[in-house]
Amino acid sequence: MVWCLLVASLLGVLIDDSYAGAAPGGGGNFQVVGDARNKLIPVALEGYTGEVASVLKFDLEVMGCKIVPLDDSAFVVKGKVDGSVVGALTDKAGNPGFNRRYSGGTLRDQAHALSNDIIQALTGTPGIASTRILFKMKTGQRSEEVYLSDYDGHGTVALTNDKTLVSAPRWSPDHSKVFYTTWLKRGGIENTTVIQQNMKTGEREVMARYRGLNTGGAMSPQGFLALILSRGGSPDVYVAPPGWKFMDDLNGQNLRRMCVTREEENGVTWSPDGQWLCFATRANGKRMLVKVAAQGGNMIRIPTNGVLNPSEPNWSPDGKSIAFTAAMGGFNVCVVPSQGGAATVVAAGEAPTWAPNSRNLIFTRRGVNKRQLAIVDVPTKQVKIVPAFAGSASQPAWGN
Amino acid sequence: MRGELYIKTLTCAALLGFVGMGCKSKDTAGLTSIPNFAGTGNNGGGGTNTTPGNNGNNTGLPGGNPGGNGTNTTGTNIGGTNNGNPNEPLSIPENFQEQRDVFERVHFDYDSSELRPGDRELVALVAQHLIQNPQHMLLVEGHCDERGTEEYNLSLGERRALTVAEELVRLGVAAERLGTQSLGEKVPLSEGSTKTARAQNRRGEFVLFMPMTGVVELPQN
Repeated sequence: MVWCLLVASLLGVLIDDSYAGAAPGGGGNFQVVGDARNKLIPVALEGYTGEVASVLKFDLEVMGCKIVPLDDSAFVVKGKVDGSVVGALTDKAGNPGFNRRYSGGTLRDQAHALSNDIIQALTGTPGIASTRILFKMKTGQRSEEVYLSDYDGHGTVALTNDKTLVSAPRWSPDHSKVFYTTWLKRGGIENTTVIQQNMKTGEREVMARYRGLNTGGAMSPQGFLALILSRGGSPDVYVAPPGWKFMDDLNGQNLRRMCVTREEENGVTWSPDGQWLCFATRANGKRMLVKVAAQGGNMIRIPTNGVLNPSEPNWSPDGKSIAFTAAMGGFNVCVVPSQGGAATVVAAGEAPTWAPNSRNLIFTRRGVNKRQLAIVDVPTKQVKIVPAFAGSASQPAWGN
Repeated sequence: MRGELYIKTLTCAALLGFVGMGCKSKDTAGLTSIPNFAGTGNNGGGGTNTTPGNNGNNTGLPGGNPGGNGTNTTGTNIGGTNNGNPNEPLSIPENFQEQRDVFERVHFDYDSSELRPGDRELVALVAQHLIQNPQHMLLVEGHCDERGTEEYNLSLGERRALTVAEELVRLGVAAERLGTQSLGEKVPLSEGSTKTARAQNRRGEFVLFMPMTGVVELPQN
C-alpha cells in the first residue's frame, strides 16, 4: 500500500538530545562555511557497521563530506546501533557537537536523520538525506512507469501501472501532486497526455490532451501550469492559469502562448518566485536557454558560455542557478548563474534536477545497457551513483 | 510498384477499440483510472484562430510573444490551413484497422527535422493514397536517435512528424485526417549506437488507419 508507506515515513524519527540545549559548536569549530564548503569535509565514522554505516557514508558523501580514517579526519561521528541509532559528533580535538539517540521509523530513517543533523551542525544548512525522488523506469519493450523512492533509491514504489510510455515526472511546488506525460490510448489512438496525480489519494486528472505533443507539466508557486504543446503547428510553450481545467477548455481558449517558433522547445522550469519561465529553444540555428516573464513577453536569452546545445533546464530552489544538460558529443550536467554567464560542467550525465538544498543535483547517467541515477555535490563535483534499479531509470525529479 | 497497398483482409479487431488504462492498476494502491472525457470526436467547429504574436517590434529573440497581454488562442493548423480542429487528437473509428507496413519510412539528418529531397516522392505517394482513399486516416510518428537528451528528442520527434504532415497538407490532404505523434528516442528501430543504427532510428513512420473488411454470414441455400 503506497500511501500507507508514505504516511509511515512521515511519522519521522524522534531525537533524544543527550546534550540538552547545547548548541553545536560549543567548544570546537563546527561551522564549515564559505570557501571551506567548496572542499570535501573529512569525516571519520566510528562504531557503525552494515546498513547504517553504508547509509551514513552515502548520505555524508552526497552532501560534500569524505569518509576518511580517523587520522585524516577533521570531525568524528562515533556511535552504535543497539536497536536504534546513536551518534555523537565531535571535532578532531574531541570538542562536543551533539550526542543523540534516534528512535522511530527504520534504522535507515534514523541514519538519514543523523546524517542531516551532522550536516546541519557542520554547515548550518539542512540536510537532504530524508528526501524522496520521482523518476521513470523502463519495465518492458514499450512500457515505462513513474516511480517514487527515497533519494538514495531505496524503498521504490510504482506510482503508475499503465504499461505504456511515460516521460518527465515532476512535483507540484507543494509536493502534493505529480505531473507526467503518458502515451494514453483513447479513441483508437495513442496521444501524449499530461496527467496530474494526487500523491495522497492517487486520483488522476487529464491536464492536456490536444492534437500532437502534450508535455511539460511544470507548475509555478502561484499555480500557473507550463505546458509544451504542438496544437499550434509546432512545439511551443503555453501557460494555463491557476485552477484551469482542461476538461472545461478543450479548445484551449484560456491558454497563454509564451512563444511562437518552429523550434523544439523543451524543459520548462519556473524561477522559484514564479516570475520567470525558462526553457530550451533554438534561434538562428543555435540551441539556447531563454526565459520569458510569467505574464508573457520577449524571450530573453540566458547565455551558457563555454558549452553548447543546452536543454532540460532546472531552476534551483534558491533562485541563483540553473542546471541543464549540454550535448557536445556526450552529455554533461552543467550549472550557470540564473541570469546567465559562464557555465560550469559539474558531471558527465543529463537531465539534472536540484535538491531542496540548491547544492546537490540528481541526474541520469547512461551505462552500456541501462540508464541509472547519480547525484553530484555541485561545489566539490563529487559524484555518487544511486544503486541500480531493476530497469533502466532516468529523468529524476527531486522532492522533499 | 513501390508503395503498393498490401491490405490484408483481416478483421483484426484486437488491434482496435478503446483501451482503458488505469483500470489495470490493481497493485498500485489508490491509483485511479484516468477519467474519460469528451475530448475526441465531436467538436467540428475548429479552434478560434487568432494570429500568433506580432514580432514586428521584437527586440528579443525571434518568436517571442511580446504583447503578452490577454490570452492567445492560437489555432494554427498543420501547414497553416483552416481545416480541421487543431485541438483534438485524431480519433479513429472503431471498425478501422491499423496498418504500419503499407509505406516505407522517411529519414532525417542528425538534429534536423527537414524533409530530405529523396523522401519527397514517398510523401507524395502517401498524399496520393490519402486523396484517393478519402476514408483513410494517417498518424505520422516522429522518432530520434539517442544523441539528444530525452526532453529535446521528444520535441524534435514531434517537429519531424509535423514537417511530414505539413508536406502532406501542402499536397492537398485535409489536416483533420492527419495526426502526429512523437516517440522521441523511446522506440528505436535498431538498438546500438553505430552510425547506421542511428541513421535508421532518425525516422518518420506512416501509420495508416482504414476501414476493416467486413464479413457477414449469409443464409446457405
